[in-house]
Amino acid sequence: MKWIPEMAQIKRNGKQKLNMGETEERKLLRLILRKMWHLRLGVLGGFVLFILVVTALFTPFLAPGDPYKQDIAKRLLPPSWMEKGDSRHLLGTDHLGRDLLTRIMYGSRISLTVGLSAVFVEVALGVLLGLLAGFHGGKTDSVISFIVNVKMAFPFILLAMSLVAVLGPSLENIIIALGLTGWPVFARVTRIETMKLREREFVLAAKSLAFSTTRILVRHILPNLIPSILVLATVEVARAIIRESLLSFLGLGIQPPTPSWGTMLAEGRDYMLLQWWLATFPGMAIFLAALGINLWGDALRDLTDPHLRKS
Amino acid sequence: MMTGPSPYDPSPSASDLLRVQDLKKHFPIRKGLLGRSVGYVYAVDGVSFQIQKGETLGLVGESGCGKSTIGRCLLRLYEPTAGKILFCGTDIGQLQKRDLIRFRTKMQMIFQDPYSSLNPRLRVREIIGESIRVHGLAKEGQWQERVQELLSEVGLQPDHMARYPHEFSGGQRQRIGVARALAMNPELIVADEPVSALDVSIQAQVINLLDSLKEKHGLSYLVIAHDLAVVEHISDRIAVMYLGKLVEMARDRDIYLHPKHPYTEALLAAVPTPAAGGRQRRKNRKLIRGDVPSPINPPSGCRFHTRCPKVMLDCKRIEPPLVMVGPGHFVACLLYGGGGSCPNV
Repeated sequence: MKWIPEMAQIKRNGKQKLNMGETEERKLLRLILRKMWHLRLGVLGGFVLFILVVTALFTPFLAPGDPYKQDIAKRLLPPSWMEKGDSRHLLGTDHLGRDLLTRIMYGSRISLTVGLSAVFVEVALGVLLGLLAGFHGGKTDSVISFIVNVKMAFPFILLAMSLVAVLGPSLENIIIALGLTGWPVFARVTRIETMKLREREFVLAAKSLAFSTTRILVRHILPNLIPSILVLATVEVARAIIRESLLSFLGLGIQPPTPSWGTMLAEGRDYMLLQWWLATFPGMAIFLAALGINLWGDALRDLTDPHLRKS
Repeated sequence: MMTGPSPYDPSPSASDLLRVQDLKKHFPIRKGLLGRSVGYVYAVDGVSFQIQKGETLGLVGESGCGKSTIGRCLLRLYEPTAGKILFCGTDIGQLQKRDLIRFRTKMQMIFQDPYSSLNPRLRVREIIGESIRVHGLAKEGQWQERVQELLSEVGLQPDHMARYPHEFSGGQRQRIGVARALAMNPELIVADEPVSALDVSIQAQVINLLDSLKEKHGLSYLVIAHDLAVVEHISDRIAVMYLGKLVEMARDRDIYLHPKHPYTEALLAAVPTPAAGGRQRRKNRKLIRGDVPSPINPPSGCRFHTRCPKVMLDCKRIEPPLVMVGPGHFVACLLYGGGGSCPNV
C-alpha cells in the first residue's frame, strides 16, 4: 500500500480524537511515559535505585543467609560460577566464611540510611543559610559566606575524622559528621540562585503585594530552587555513600561486624591479589548505587521542570 | 500670570493622590573587601511631581535615566535616599511595617518583562489569588471566584487559572500581571514599561486594556516608557526625564504640539509613527547624537548640555530650575526663563 501524506494526517487526527476522550489521569500517565522514554538513562538509574531501595527495605526476606553467620570451613570461597565455587554462595564468602551477597545486601541498608539522612541534614542547613545570605545580602551574606569559605577550605577527612573521634563511631554520629561537612555546597548554590531570583520581577511583585519575607522565601524563591537542589542532592547522596564507605574503610565509620560496603572494602583489601571478589563486589555496589542515583537525579530534574511537563 | 499648580507647591491639594517632593535615589558603588562606597550612581536626583485622582502621568526618558528607579521608590521596593513621597497625604517613607502593608495594597505595579514578572512555578490561580488569600480581600472560600472574575476582566478565560505562565503568550502574560495588580484593589498603578517587551500589535491591546480599567475602577496610573508613542495614547500629562531629573512636564497635547525643551523636541523627532504633528516635526527634526552621559559623574550645569543642539555658554555653569511657561507646563531650560538667575543655586 502506498503511503500518502493525507493518510498520516487522518491517522494523526484519529489519534487526537482518541486522546480527547482521555481522562486527565490517563493523559498525565501517557505524558509521563512519553517523557520517560526521552529519559531512558534516568529510567535505568531509577531502576537501579528501585532495586537498591527494595533490597534495603526487605533484606531479611531477600537475603540468602545470615550476615553474621561464620563458617571457617567455607572461608574465602570464590563466586559460584568459578572453579571451587559453592552454589549456595553466589558471590563467594569472606575471610570468616560469611556469605558476601548477604553482607552486601545488608550493607545497602547502612548506605542508604547514611546517604539520605546525611543529605537531609546538609540540605536543611545549607539551604536555610544560603537563602538568608542570598536574600538579605550585606552583613548576613558576608558572615555566612565567610563560614562557607572557611568550611570549604577545611579538608573533609580531617573534620569528619575529628568529629567522629569526639562523638564516637556510630551510625548517628557518622550522619552528623557527614551532614556537618557537606552542607556548604548547598549553601553556595542556594545563595547564588537566590541572589539571581531576588532581582527577578516576580519577586519584586511579591514584595509589592506586601508578602512577608518568609512567604517570599518559601513560596516564591524556594520552589524555583528545587531543581538545582534536587540535582545537587542526588549527587550528594552518592557522595555521602562514598564518604561513609571511606570513613568505614578507615575504621572510623561503621564498626565490624556490622556489614557496611566501606568496611567490607577495607576487609577485602588484604586479599586483593588472590581473593579479588572480597573488595570488588562491595566496590561495585558503591559504584552502581552512586551511578543509579545520579542518573535518576538528572531525570528527576527534567521531570519537575514545568516547562517540560507539557510538551 | 500663568496658573496651575507648581511642582514645588508645598500646599497639598485635595485631589492629589500622589505627591513626590525632591525625590533622590543614589546607589552607592562599593568596592573592595570592606565594601567602602567609592562613589554614587545618581539615578534619581531631585524629582518632584504629583498625580491626581483618576489621572495618568506618563514618564518618558531614555534607558538608564532613572525612570524605573522612581517607580520602584514609589512602591518602596527601593528605599529613597532623600525626598518625600506623599500618598493620600501620608508620607510613605515613614510607614512602619503594618501600615506599609496597608499602603501597598493601594499602590501596585505592572512590570516590564512579562516573562520574568510571573513566578514560573505557580499556576495562574496562585499568582493572582495569593494576595487575595493572604490579605483576605475576598470572602472566605471565594477567592477562586474572584480570580475568575479578574481573569475575565483583563480579557482572559476563567479556566486559564489552572495553567502555568509558560503556557501563555507575552500579551496574555502581561494581562495576568495586570490582574495580579488589580486583585489588590489599588488606587494607583505604576506601569513600568508595560508594553515595551510586547509585539507592536499586542501593545495597543494592552494599552487599551489599561485605559478601560482606569475608567471602570477609577484608577490613576504612572506609566513609565522610553517611547513617547506609547504614553501618548494613555496619558493626561507627560513628564520627560533626563539623567535623573525632570526636564519638562506638561499636558500631553502641549508636549506633542509645543515641546519646549530641546530634549523633548529630539525625543519627538525620534518617534517614527505619524503621530500628532508628525509630518511637521519630521521636516525640521533635530536628532541628538551620542550616548547618555554616565549618571555616576553627571555633567555640570544643565545635564543635557553635552548633547543639546541649542547649547549656550551658561548651560555648562547654571543648573536650570523647572519653571512654568504655560498653564501646567514646566520646563527646565535656560532658554525659557531662569537664565542667569537660578533659585536652586
